[in-house]
Amino acid sequence: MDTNSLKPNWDHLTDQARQAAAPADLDVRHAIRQQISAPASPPVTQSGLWDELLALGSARWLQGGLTCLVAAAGWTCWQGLATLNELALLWSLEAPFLARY
Amino acid sequence: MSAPPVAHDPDLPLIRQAQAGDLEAFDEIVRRHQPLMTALLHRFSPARADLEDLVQEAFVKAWHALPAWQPERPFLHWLKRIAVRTGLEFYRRRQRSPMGRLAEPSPDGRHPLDDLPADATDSSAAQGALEEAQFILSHLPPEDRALLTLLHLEQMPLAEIAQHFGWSRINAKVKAYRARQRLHTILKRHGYELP
Repeated sequence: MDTNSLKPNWDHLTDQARQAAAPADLDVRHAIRQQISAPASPPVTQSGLWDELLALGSARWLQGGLTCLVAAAGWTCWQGLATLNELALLWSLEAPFLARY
Repeated sequence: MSAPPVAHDPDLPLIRQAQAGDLEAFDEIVRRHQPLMTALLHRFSPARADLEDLVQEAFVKAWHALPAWQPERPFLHWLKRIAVRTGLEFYRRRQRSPMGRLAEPSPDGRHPLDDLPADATDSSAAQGALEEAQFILSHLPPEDRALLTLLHLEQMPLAEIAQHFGWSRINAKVKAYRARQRLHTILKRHGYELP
């Protein structure tokens, strides 16, 4: 093997890497203790989600918000209806005129 | 195997207490085996922050799995298995995460870090070599990376690696052969002299 080769050598690299010492001052006992002692969070179940939704449905602010939303949607439709009526009138007036050409 | 016979396992009384939920006993187990687990997981991640997370994760898993531990199995071997699998999961997470993608090679196979001068890092030469070796290995799929980390950096026998990962010996040999082939391609791309 050519020892004067400028190419890096994998075996040499891993030999050197094996000399790397792990940090001697690393101590995770406190963190482990905390993680083990922490109460496990309860898993989210489908019935739990339904309960949450029902609770939301009974909230006053949500009911008020929904009422406002429905009222706004109704008003928009009503306005839209008048606009549609006007468009229909215009079309009915212009249709004979357009039909001539 | 280097692990002591189970009958003379000095950890056995502590393990029994820990199995019964004694946190103090488990604390003592951690104190005893923390250096070994840290040394093993250091091969997987030279970065201190990741290493701390890995050691912690491995011991927390050990705590949860402790009730299932049988005295017929050497405790140290059992702990090492948990550490090795934690290392493999770490590589899998790394591959999926956006940060993991940053370490992927450019289309021409070079990485920006390749062009840095050798003395750009202030860590020791050995630590630098470990980081570079891990960078090269990071181009491999997680399973190959874990296998070659244990083979080349930890110098763990292939039979023991096979036991830890639950592979047959033949399967481990085939996997090691394929992983070495992939490593050769990557080494060639990075201008390394092939072993």
